[in-house]
Amino acid sequence: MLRHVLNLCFLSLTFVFTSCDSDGQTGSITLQFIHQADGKTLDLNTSSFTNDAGNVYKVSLLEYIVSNLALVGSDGKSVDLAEYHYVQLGNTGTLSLTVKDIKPDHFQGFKMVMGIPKTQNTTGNLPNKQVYNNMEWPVAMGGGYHYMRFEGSYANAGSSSTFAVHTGPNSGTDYAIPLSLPMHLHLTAGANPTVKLTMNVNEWLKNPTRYDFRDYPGNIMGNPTAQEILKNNGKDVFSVQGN
Amino acid sequence: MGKTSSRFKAIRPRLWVIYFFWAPLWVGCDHQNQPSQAPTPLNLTLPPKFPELPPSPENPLTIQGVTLGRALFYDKSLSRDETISCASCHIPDFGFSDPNALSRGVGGLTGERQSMPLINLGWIDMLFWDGRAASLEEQALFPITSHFEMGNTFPEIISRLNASLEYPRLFRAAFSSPDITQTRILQALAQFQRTLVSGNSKYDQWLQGKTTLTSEEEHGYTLFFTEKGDCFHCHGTLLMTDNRFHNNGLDDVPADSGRYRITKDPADIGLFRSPTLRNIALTAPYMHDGRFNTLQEVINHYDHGLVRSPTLDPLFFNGRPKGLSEVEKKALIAFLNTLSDPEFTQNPTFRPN
Ligand code: HEC
Ligand code: HEC
Ligand SMILES: [Cu+2]
Repeated sequence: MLRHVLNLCFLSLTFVFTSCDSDGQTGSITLQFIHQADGKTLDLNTSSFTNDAGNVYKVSLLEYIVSNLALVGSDGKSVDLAEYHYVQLGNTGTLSLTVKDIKPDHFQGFKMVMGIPKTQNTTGNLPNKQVYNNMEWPVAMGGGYHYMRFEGSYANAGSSSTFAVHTGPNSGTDYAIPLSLPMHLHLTAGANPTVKLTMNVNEWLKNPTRYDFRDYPGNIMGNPTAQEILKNNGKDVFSVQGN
Repeated sequence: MGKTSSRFKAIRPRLWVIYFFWAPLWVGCDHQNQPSQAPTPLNLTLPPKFPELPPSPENPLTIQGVTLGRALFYDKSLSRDETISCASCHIPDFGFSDPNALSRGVGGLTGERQSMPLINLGWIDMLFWDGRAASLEEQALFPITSHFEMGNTFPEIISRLNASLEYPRLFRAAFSSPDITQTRILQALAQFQRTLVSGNSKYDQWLQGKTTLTSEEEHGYTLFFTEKGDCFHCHGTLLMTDNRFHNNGLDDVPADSGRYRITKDPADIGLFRSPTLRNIALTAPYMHDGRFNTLQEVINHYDHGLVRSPTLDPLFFNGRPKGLSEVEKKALIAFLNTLSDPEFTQNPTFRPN
């Protein structure tokens, strides 16, 4: 059979325009999300951890959204970093976030919201991708997105069961947690320091109120008592470390 | 999952502005004076609010590629004894699934799992019940070569296709040259399957305000999307699936360990990918081994048949019965029935030419 030869020509033109409008006078910062239970590094389905209620547990899922991330400058003003960020334990790509083009400063604090504040938390507000869509809080339950899904199994004196801690805007109520954490971060031009954000998951489960998986094994999305406890406990789950 | 944040206007990216121009030019030299045309790019029209179709830059959709893929999909000569096509186990009337609990391939051999419906595949990057194929291009290799499905080899298929009158022309139209290769066969099949998009069910029309649901269907919707029924965590979003792996309590010691076969992680024993529930009324029997014949049986399973095991999904309360009433069960089924999309199953362009 006669083969007709076809010439395939690709012409690729790549124009790269580079513009450094601040003449290299800026730096970057990398946020790193770290997870532990009272100092012990959190992992998936492997290690056991113990909470305040004595539940000995393993984690099978931890994913959450933080929003309105910002640095607090030496003048007390906020420097916005990102509108929101999705984190999933075990999913390396989500565990850090680099933000470029930040003016050098002696930053004195870090701010973010654990979850998404009511005004921003409407279905469709995050990019239309499966990873965010899977965090949807059903319209039938008020709409928006989950703040966090924290799941696993636990044992207490012989009996074993599972837990599913899902936080979010139950019936439109705002349970998001605004956080403002003092931090020292010295950023110089061209540098890329790391800011470590550590979540101690055990803090969700104590102080001021003990959260026992036996009392709340799951189905807490529509449970205002559980959401309120978690909101109040959540004020100190994060700690931040600059340089 | 990659990039996950957008920035505030105050710090819009200004360091790099990159323009990327890519201008392909095709030059055809044809002895018989019939210049080869570049295939025509195909832009799928997606149903409203569907997530963007993840791009497949190595294998862009073209009209001619899809036409070729469709011909291959329905062609029995892809199987060793020319008795089985992809469509033998993926039948349009059954939501591109088949009515056997375990699907049957060449020589009357029975496979190990139930056929999967082929619906909205372009959004799935872990194909099969256990997620072992990362793309549609990779996926079709399995049925073609599996001894209990089509039992064939590529050299055999390629020589059959070369000997045909039609295929060299179809390959040339799809790929700008008549060469028939394994890669091109897989690419064409993948292209056809990416067009199998379903998003115009009664439920969709209701979401768009174009129709109403009966009060029973709406009751079912509410159960589905609240914690009472709690189906949405795994079968939610417009795709009606989270495309993740879960153990939904079928067995304590599963005969088929599912995702574990691929990862060897004990936490994955008995986990399978949540299937989409679109067109679910048409795709019986249900589950990876086709153990349930009706949606009633499925609902009874979730209501009071969940079997405990170390990997049972935490959303199932350790197997605690849901306590759904008969009215609630009926409502859930009524809602599931609204997910059928006749425009999808009857679409003439999805059927043999
Ligand atoms: C003998 C029956 C049979 C034939 C023939 C067959 N399939 Fe399948 N198909 C199955 C079964 C069974 C599964 C699920 C297998 C598994 O998960 O291990 C499946 C799964 C798939 C999937 C994965 C869908 C998903 O959601 O992950 C795709 C895509 C697919 N088949 C396409 C094809 C194509 C293309 C052909 C023809 C080249 C084909 N099949 C031929 C039975 C068949
Ligand atoms: C924790 C996740 C999860 C939840 C919650 C869940 N499912 Fe499933 N569902 C799955 C998985 C995983 C499968 C496939 C299991 C298998 O075949 O081994 C499945 C299979 C099905 C199937 C069969 C699909 C097919 O193509 O064979 C139906 C129908 C179904 N689920 C309906 C429901 C309904 C209705 C609810 C709520 C009452 C529900 N599911 C809740 C994960 C879930
Ligand atoms: Cu939830």
